[in-house]
Amino acid sequence: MATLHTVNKNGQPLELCLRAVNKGDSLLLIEDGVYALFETADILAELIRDVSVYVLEADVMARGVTNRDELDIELVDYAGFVSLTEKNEKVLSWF
Amino acid sequence: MLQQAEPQESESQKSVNQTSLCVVSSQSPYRGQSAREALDAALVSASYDLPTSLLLMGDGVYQLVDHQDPSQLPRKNLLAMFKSLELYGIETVYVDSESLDERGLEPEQLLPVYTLLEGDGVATFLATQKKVLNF
Amino acid sequence: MNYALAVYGAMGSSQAGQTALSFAKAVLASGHTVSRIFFYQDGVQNASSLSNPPQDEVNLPAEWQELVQQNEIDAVVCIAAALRRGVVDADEAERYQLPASNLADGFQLSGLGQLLESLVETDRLITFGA
Repeated sequence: MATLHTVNKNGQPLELCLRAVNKGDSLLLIEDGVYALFETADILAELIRDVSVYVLEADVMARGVTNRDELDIELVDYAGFVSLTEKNEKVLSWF
Repeated sequence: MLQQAEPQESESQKSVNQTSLCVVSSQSPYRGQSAREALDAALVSASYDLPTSLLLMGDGVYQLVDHQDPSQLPRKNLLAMFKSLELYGIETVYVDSESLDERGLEPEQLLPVYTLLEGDGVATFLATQKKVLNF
Repeated sequence: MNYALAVYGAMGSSQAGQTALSFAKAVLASGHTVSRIFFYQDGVQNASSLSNPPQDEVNLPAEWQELVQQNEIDAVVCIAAALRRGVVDADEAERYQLPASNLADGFQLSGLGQLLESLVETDRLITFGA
């Protein structure tokens, strides 16, 4: 039973999410959560070995987050967000 | 439609519904209404006869610190609600052990009504829950 | 699939309402159903008919109103959370003798049971936190 986790800001929401993920889960960074690409790139680089990490395009664009290409993190639009919620049986939101 | 359970419902009837539900509460008790409203959601869930548990993580562990007296704020004492959770059908209160460590809290400083989740406990536990509500 | 959304953030301090609105539109565009949107905590502000932002900004309550009315979505505002934060319908205004009511058309006040019902009975409940 794979789970999609969304994280909408760095700090506690990301930390608690990291404690709740299991191998094979997916993580989608939304809203201020996309700043993790700047602030905690090292943690994400380690995480993507076990967890698929995605970022929401609208929030990445809005915030001028440009270093995604350095990490193996996929950009999704809202249709992609919906398709992640289809593929995972459960969605946990960390905020 | 969900049917609200009668308060005097027997234990055997409670096990009929297999949808396990966990409310995750991660905010401190007196900043805004989040902690209170998360607890309300858990209480309503239990009142519908759903097997409900509560998981305190992050700043949410502060909700269970013993000897709270918010009378001078003034606010309702959230801890008093924790003392009667079992009465309302909330089966277990889980506390994330790492969240205690990070905050310099010892398990003895909390109201002793909880089960500690250590190591990978949180991830393992949440994976077994059919429905999770985050706050 | 049948979706429900829970929105916990107010416009002045959170992006949750806007994110949830964009997500709801994408769910519908993907051919799924959105049966209910539940507004809880500070998210109840999304249902105020008295929001009137400048013209070059999005009027979120108006956008929600259009979406829920066109797609026959149940837009439920938690009554306890709403009363705490000053979002009331005409009935509640009368009951508590308040000077005005401001719940936008298309929304209804109801209890937390509606959130739990959606969590249990839909295929997916997606929460948009503050």
